[in-house]
Amino acid sequence: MGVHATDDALICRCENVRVADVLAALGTGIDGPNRVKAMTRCGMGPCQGRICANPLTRLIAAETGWSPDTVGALRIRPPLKPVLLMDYLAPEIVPELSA
Amino acid sequence: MTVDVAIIGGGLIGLATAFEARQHGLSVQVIEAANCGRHASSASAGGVRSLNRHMAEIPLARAALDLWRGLAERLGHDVGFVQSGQMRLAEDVAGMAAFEARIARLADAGWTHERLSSARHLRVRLPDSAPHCRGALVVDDDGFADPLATLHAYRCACLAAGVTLSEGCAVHGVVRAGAGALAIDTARGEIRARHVVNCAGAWGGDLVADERIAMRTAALQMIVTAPVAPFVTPVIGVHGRKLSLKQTDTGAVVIGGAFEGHLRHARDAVAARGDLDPGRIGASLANAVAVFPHLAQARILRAWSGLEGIMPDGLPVLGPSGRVPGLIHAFGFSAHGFALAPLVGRMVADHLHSGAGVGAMAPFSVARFGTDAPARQKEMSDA
Repeated sequence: MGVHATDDALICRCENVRVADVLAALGTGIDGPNRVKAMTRCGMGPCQGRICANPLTRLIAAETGWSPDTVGALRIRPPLKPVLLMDYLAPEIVPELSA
Repeated sequence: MTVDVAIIGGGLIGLATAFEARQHGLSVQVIEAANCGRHASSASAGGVRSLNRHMAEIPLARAALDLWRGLAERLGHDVGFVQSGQMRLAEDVAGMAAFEARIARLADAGWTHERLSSARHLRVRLPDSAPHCRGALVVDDDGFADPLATLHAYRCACLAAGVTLSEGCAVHGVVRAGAGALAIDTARGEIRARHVVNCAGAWGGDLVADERIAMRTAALQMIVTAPVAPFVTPVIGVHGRKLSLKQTDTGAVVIGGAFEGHLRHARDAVAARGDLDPGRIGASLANAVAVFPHLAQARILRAWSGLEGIMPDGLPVLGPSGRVPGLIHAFGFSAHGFALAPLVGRMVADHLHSGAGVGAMAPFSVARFGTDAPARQKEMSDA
């Protein structure tokens, strides 16, 4: 994504966040991807930022004039990809559940 | 320049206080070490709960509910408030007996908002709950809100109302600065204020130079699943288990319940963070599947953590300092302050405006720890 993305371009498909939403967040004085995430839900959906993390950093960089390295990236939250809840459980609990 | 009110801590309690103080026409500056809502406010489960509250907090929780109903309109932003009800399940006879005793105790005090639901009714209301569940304690008009949306709403409303917001500004200490003023030593120099409100959450105790307040910091952990089919409307707790569970309108299941992660740099409000403990996340999840077995098939999407201050008696410190004129405390909400934030903001602001509300805050006075007595030259310092 370049710096010419239109305001209504989708940046986060999972949470339906548009470029304009991110710009509005930046307009309240916040300047990092993780804070934009908290305000807009950008990166909070099922893909956990796999699609939007890079465009988000680049959009903030284009707006602020900082380098993408300075802007930083969305914090990675465990688990890195969705895992079945039962995989977290002690093995002795799981047979009971499937009984 | 001296502001009317300086608020230390830009979490929900601090922002709510700032917004309400501004409504009284006071000049307000919020001083936040990191960024607004960095810790407990964004690791909140978002419960708006009067159910199973400590008796002392029930009047606050019930009054707060009235404010939640009109909060989005008051702030001009959505806060995701849903009056979904809250239910506390019992898995055995002892749990039901404890509920019956609580209902009786509430009735003695004149409270009728909690009711006891039978196993049969529970099965109708929650067909996916485990068959061994015996019944539930219910509050129908409780609910939940979206903590991040609420934070965003208060922050934007504060900015629109003309609150000065100083984020990334650590506080080193507060001292008296002559009659009617306090001086706050911050990373960006001194800020003078007629009143200071201590909304510093897990760091609230550090601002009170008395180590007899045996406050504890907890790294609260939250977990969210990928969307599953709708199965539960009310927020769920369970007698004898650490669990808070709700399903949002997207279908995601949000699971919390006080299993704690690991503190890192806990006394440094800027660098502090909570690291997740996979074993205790497993314990939270085990509690969830104990009452909703089908959740074993759900997928975990994300887990996160934030730091919260826990008082020895589980009750917040709310009200004027006995030692420093002009200082008001509102911290130590012990992992159940979210629901109270709109009301606490109103109470503290009203107090700043007119001196009102001392009686309502009395049960939460810092004096209950035998501290905050008139004393030293430097009243407060950075521990």
